[in-house]
Amino acid sequence: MSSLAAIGLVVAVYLAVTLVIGAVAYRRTAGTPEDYFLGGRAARTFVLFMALFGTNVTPFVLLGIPGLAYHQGVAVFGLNAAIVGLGIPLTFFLIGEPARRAARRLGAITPAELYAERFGSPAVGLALFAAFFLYTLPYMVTAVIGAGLTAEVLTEGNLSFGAASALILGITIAYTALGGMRATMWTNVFQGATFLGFIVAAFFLIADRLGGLGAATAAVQDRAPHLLEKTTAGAFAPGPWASWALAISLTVIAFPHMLVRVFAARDAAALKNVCRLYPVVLVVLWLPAVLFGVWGAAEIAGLQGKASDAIFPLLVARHLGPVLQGMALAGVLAAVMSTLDAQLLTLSSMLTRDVLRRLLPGLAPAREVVAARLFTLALSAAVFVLVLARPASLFDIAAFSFSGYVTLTPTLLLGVRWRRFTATGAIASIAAGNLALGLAFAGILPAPFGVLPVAWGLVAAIAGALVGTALSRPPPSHVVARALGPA
Amino acid sequence: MSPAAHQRLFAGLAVALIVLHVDTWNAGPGPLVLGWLPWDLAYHLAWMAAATFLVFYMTSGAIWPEDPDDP
Repeated sequence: MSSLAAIGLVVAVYLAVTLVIGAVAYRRTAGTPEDYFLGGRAARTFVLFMALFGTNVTPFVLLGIPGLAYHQGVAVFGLNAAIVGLGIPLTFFLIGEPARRAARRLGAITPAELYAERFGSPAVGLALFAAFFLYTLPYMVTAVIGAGLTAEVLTEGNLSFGAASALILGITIAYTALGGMRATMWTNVFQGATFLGFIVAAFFLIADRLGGLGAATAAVQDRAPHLLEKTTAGAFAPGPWASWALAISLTVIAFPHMLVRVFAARDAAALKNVCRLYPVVLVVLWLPAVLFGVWGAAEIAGLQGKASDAIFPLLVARHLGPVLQGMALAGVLAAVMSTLDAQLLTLSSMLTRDVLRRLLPGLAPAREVVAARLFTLALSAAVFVLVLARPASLFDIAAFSFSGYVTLTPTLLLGVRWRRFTATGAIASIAAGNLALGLAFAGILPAPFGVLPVAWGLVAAIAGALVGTALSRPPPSHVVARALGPA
Repeated sequence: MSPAAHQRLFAGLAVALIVLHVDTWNAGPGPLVLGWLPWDLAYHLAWMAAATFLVFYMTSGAIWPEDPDDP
């Protein structure tokens, strides 16, 4: 069997197993919105963790992080991985848990629906819907582009970029549209196991091929010793470092596709266990990813700029056989599909619950599920068109989106933790945060101590929330109590 | 200790840990831990071990009570 056929066979097995899991989940899915969109709010620890972690992990960890470490060294771990081991569990506790309780109490399915009910204000729901939608769509497109390009490289051009993108979207649509949340969570377990299992196996196998952990590090000491040291230049200076840590800690809970998965938790115990697992599994994934980049710099020198994003596939191609090369491609596909399915399902649920149901108040529950499936197809078609067009501004929009989510966190936090917080405060927060973020990105606002634009967005969003609330009347206590329980 | 005291202790420990994350003092060359692990990486792995202990404290009943409405 040729090496290309072996790679194709491994990927075909991965895709077939994914489809079978999706089909089994479809047979277990009832036709109610709560079951289709949230899996009946019954996810226990293991499935909930793999669904959240799989959704959180994108091909950036498998490709972009080794690429960054190739140029910037081991400090990439401290900058990008360590803080989220505390930051993400903290946001699950401060925002996720009270939001989960409120969503269950109200029967809310989408984040915008929850906050519209909490404030008794459709305008807040609409503002959140617009922000979530506009920030998430570019992300989906850039993820598919990344996976399509990787598939083209690993199959040496035998699977074209367009065909790879169509394959990724086609398989993801099939199990997401049919099986809803249950299908995406169950496939996330398999997908998470695929990329975690592969990266751990690759770590030990590649280290062995390089002569062991000590020899691999010694080679870096000889050829690129600066990669083993922390620097305080550029992104690693205290200002950018602290503001980036703030951004990556806060942004994840504001991804609507993450918050909705928190709503799907069976109970607080499941979410607590997820928090306990998060920092441990982060190390398992990120430590190899960073070391691949550092080892690769000594092994395959001379990659310029973004070309270093290929260092992990290059190490795999050089040191591992075709079956493991197939596993590498399956791992990248798993990372992109486990995020894409959550985004597709969440955006289709938002279009159904936050838009269509407002336009058609008498919509039958079974019709909602049909509508969501049609929205999933339409969204996928729109993503595919954008993937093929690849507008130049898309990656700039995605970069803005990452910080844009952070500007929503004051509203998400105060909405479930502060009873006095008003709809005016929420809308002022979202508007002020995004305005300041835009001005900072445009360079109109200064960057004291080198802080990133996200710091301006967050400060303005907090100020908007406080000023807007101070200038408006408290919300009716019975409206707040319906969402947050009695005071 | 009262729940409020637990929450104050947790908040204090979290702030201290976050300050320790901005580790400018680790800049420059450092020793290899266990003969292969660069010092800055070892520091942040130790930091994550401390963060994991803090997360276990956060998820204890003293800080994060169970939801009586859960099934």
